[in-house]
Amino acid sequence: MSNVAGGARFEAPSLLQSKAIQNPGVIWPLLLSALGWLVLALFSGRSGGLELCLGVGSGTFERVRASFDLGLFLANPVRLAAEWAAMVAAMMLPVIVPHLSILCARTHPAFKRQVLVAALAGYLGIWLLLGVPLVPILLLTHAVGEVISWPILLPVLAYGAAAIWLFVPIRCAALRRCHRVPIFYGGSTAQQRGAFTYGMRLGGVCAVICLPAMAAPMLSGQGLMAMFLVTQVLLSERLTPSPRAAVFVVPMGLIALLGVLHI
Amino acid sequence: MVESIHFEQLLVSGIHSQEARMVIRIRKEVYSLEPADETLEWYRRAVAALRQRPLGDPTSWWWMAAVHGNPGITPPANSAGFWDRCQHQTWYFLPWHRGYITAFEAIVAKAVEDLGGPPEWALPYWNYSLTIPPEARRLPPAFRTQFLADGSENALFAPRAADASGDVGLRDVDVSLDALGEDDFTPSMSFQTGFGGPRTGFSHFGNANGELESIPHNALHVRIGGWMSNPNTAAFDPIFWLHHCNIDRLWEEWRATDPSHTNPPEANWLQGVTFQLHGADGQPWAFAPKDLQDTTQVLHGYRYDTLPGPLVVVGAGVVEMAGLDIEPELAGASDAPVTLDGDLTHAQVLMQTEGLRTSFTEGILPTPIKVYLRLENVTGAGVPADYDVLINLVDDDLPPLEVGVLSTFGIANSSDPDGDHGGQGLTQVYDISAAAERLKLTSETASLLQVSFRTVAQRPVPEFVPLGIEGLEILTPDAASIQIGRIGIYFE
Repeated sequence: MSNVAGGARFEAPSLLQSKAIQNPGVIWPLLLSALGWLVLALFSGRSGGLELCLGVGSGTFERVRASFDLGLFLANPVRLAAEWAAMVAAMMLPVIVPHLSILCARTHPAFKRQVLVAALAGYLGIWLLLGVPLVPILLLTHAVGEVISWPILLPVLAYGAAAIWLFVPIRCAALRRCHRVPIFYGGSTAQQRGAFTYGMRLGGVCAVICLPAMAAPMLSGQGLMAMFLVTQVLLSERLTPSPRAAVFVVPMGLIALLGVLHI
Repeated sequence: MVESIHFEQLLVSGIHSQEARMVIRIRKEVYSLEPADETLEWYRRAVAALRQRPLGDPTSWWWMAAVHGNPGITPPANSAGFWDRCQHQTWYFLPWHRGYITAFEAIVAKAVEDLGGPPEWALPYWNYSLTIPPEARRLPPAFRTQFLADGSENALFAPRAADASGDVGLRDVDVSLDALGEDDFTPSMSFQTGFGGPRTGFSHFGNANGELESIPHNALHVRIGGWMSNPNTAAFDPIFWLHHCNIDRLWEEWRATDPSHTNPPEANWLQGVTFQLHGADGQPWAFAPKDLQDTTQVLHGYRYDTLPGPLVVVGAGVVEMAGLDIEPELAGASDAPVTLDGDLTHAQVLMQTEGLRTSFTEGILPTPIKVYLRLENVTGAGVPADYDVLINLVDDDLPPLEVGVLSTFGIANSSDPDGDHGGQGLTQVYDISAAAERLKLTSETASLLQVSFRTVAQRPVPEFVPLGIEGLEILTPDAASIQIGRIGIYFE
């Protein structure tokens, strides 16, 4: 559809006036993501840093304190889980907006909300489960890092691994396979079951694609800004018409540099 | 065949060039060529010459054909990034093929000139949608026979589902130009139709065909059969280039017939992806869709005999008001996948009009503006086939209404789980508004719709011509095996 005003063609704001905004597959995941960022910001503000990012702003003293905080972590699984959930919502939900948008567009209006909730539940559920083994790994990495003092090596290793992962065939295959959006049949219950299963599968595929990059800010002891930048890189890769892994190595390197500089 | 135009004429298109005078080639309809015209004869000689060039030569016949798709030829080392690049089910379908046939035209034209032919040689197009002359839907005579009068091999011949008169069974629905009535080049992200195809990234094979790609493009490929029916072998058939020349012409015609028919203004389309081919000199040529909007500026420059001169170029700053229309809603769907089996397959769609947008159900809008039939996630393998699609209500006595053709060109590529889009298959959309009105499909009484798929009969394809290159013979002889993920009815 086109419009002409005063003889000149013009562009409407692309998102707010587009069909897409009528689609709950777009708006609710984005609101949840915004809520995730808000929660992360609040946690960060209250304690001077995210518990999942031990070394925020760290000098020697902070690192020692971070090691000390390890005990507190283990004693506070609720906050840990909440932070992880907020982090997943904040960083990963924008990435799957196109999938959920297509899902909703192809679902009968009577079932859209149930299908969306089921898909989100499956997606977030699989990510929360992934957090169970991931968090001890992160804590262990930090603890070791504190002992042998790796302030520079940690960001270099974490982002280096994430950059190498960009080129690994299994990741490239996962990137292609995540394009497929399935179709659900039957009544409300059957469709919700299908959507939940799809959400879990999509979560698993997304984890293969994104987990190393997503974990890099945590391993490097970086905070919100690094997480936000990594999210932009992951989003850019999905939105670039012809993504090439090599292109995304540079921004990864720059975010790693921020980690080296304790930013 | 050469037309000289002055720079002043180009100014109307907003083009500013250092060249005050340039020469462009004129592409003519193949059946309009005079009996004494040698365009096809020089094409034949050039094709034969290009076939003599080695596989690793970017100006060889083999190389240029494998750029579209490689049937299994062992690729030379320098082919990385050049072979297997055709764009399908994407908004890059038209621009990529424009670049492709124009690069090919440059290579052939140079070969023609090297052979002593006319320097102004241009690729002809085959307008199979014409009804006059009556033979326009038949394969042009120069392409029909395997051997010439002197007993030598005809380089324009390829295995096809054609009889001796060149009849490949084209029907009105196969060569329909309904696509030219489509207003938008590219539709919204979530409901994919449009004239030119859906928004995608680089898409060797994708999901949803644009209207023009679906009909007549896909149907022609399948009706001609043989190498043409498989994207990995299609460009090895010399008729491929005349077919795509016609598709390119239809793009120009679509733009020329209505000022609102404009190319996408988005930067992602204009320059989001850069493609690479080779020019006549064998040197790489990089281009993006923004470089192809004026045909007189593409490589040597060309235009079509029946169309006006250069069209107004839509620049990156001239953009479109988009997205104020209403998103379609699913109003009914099949409750299981449908496997096409035998000559006729029936499937049922349960209509669920309750819960739809209040404007429909409360009578603010008396009826949906549009009704679409959407075949989603169509996957399969084997030799592609065409199917007539028909609808009727289960509980009425009316004969089924034909609503379109399902063409499965490229289905094996789109079903490949390791392909660009994870093997989600094809999606085909039909505007069935007129048929829906006749069936009163939008009323609450219409509860069960029957959708039928009738296999379109096709002539057998003769044994393949031995061309002395390994790989071409792999075209699978297996019959088509097609599954439709879901049949959906959408109201808009």
